Amino acid sequence: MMPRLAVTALSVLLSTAVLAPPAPATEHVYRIGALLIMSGRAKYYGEVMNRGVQMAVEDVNAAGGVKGKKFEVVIEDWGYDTKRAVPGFIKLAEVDRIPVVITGGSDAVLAIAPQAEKLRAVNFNAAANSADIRKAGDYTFSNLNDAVVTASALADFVFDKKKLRKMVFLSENTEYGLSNAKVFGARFKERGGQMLDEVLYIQNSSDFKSHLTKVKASNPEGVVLIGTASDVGRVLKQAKQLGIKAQWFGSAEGVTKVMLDLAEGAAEGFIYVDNAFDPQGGMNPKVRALAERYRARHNEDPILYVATHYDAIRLIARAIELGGYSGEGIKNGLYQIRSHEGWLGIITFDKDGAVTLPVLMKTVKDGKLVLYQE
Amino acid sequence: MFPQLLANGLVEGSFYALLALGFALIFGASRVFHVAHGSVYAVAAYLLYLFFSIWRLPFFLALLLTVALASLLGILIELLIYRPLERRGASHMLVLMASIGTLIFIDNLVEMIFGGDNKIIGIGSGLQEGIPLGPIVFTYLQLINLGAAVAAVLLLNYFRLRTAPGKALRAVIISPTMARVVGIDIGRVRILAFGLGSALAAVSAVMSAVDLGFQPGQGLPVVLVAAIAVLVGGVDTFTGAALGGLILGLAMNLGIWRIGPEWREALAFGVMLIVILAKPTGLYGRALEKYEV
Repeated sequence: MMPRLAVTALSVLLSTAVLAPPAPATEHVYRIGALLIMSGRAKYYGEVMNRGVQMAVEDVNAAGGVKGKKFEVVIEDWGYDTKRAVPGFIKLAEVDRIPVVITGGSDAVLAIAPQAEKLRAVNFNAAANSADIRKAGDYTFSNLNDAVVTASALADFVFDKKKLRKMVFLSENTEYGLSNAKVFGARFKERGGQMLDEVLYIQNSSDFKSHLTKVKASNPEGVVLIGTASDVGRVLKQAKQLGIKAQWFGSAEGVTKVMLDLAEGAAEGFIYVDNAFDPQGGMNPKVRALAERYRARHNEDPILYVATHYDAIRLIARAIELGGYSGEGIKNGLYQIRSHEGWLGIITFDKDGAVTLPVLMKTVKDGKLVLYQE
Repeated sequence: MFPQLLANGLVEGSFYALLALGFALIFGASRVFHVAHGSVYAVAAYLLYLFFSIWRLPFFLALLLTVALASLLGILIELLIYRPLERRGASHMLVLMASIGTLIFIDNLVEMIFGGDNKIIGIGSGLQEGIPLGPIVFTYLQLINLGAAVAAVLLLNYFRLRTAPGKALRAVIISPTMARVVGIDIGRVRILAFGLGSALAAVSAVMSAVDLGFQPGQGLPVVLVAAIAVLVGGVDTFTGAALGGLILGLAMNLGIWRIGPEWREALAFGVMLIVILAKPTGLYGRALEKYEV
């Protein structure tokens, strides 16, 4: 009897805690949502994204906030699982009543987009590059180049600079991989190249040998590999074991320290397209200062997502100044932004809520990520 | 392409064969669908990482400790979870749910302790270099893994055919009722099965971790494949379980000769469905007592 009573009482208490209404938004802060990868295999991305977010929040708050109110970030973990991303967004936008959420992951951003329209909360993509995101809705924005820009640039580079004509595309079987495959393939064929095969894998696999056997059988001059850093690292290592001699290309999203560690030397010579992001900060003194500050704090160079997430907070701050702290206000404010000087460059959103920024080719040389030079 | 796919299938199949054998041992002796076998597999990889990569113990000592502790974990799951439930008259369904809960709990505990990122066992690049053998490329590590799998199967076969505990195990698998009648201690045989089966899971985990690296949450997919291999081969035969694993490995690799590799996992389930619809006891299985779930 007693244990049963205790279990019942505990269940009621727990349910009350779970179902209790959320604390109302405080009057003295603006709360910004962030859907980040805080667990699982891609956790490293979430950590660096959060660093970019926190750096920007520090800067916004140090300057007195926006309209006298400081920023507070509320994070939900989606663990790089789209099934968790949508409920995470709904929880932030509807339950916590936060009018803007920083998101990422092409599948997640696209799955969230209809909810963003319905709830009138801004879906601010700072990490995904599917070409379909620009058509996802009025409340969806991106502050980095999408596949339309990067995959096309890569196709032109492969054709013009590397003079390769026979390629295979190997990617994860997600919106991110498929979108890049579609854009690259179309552009490469338009230029006169030949796509020998398109090989897909389920993300988070460990063994890619059967996929790589198929790649090898096509005998390509080059392979474009699109996936997360952990998958890219493993693929490159196993490709080397199988003796695949083709030149490997990819995109910056899959190039991190994790990729280099997992590749165990096999990433040497890997060429990838990136937004024009210089980990050293480039020529702009403000950006150099940001890069140095990040390096001093975290003992490593910043990656692209640090910059996009830093810019995301600064852009949202500007949008609130222009349009007010509501979903519709932030949306309208973002569309009004002209030539915002961000870490990634000069940002203006087009009518689709997308941006077009310069791109660069980079490579892995002596275990380091450097600008590609002929 | 075909020779390389065949080679890949043999290597992967040997890995599944070991896993399936361990699962079959445990299922045969206890009739428990031991989903938590996946957590033993996952823990083994992290134990090797702890002993070899963090504590820097010699590799073979780290391996021995890993297998021993993984065995112990399997036995503890039997003694602390399944046996108490069965003593209280729990249904098979309840035991299955407890097994799933154990898997999830242990997986999350491991992730809390070691983090969610990918890990590798830095055993040296020499072992992982490709060796071209005509149209096929193996790595030294793959050849070692293949040899280890064959050796484990042969040792296990010797054990069950030539030793008294092995014969007792076979008796319990064939008929627990008759085994009890002739005086075999079912409880001790179950402990033996859980210990041995978990040791086999640990060996598979080490093979995979050293070759491919590892991350949290890998236990469930692996135990599902082991279960499929056992169902395909036959739930009550060791030969069947091992061959089931081999057949799966070959099917998942050779199948992509004609279909996209993204359908590999679907192929495994497809093979299972075809086999159990045609022969519910598996390719080499005999008729079993009816079970309720």
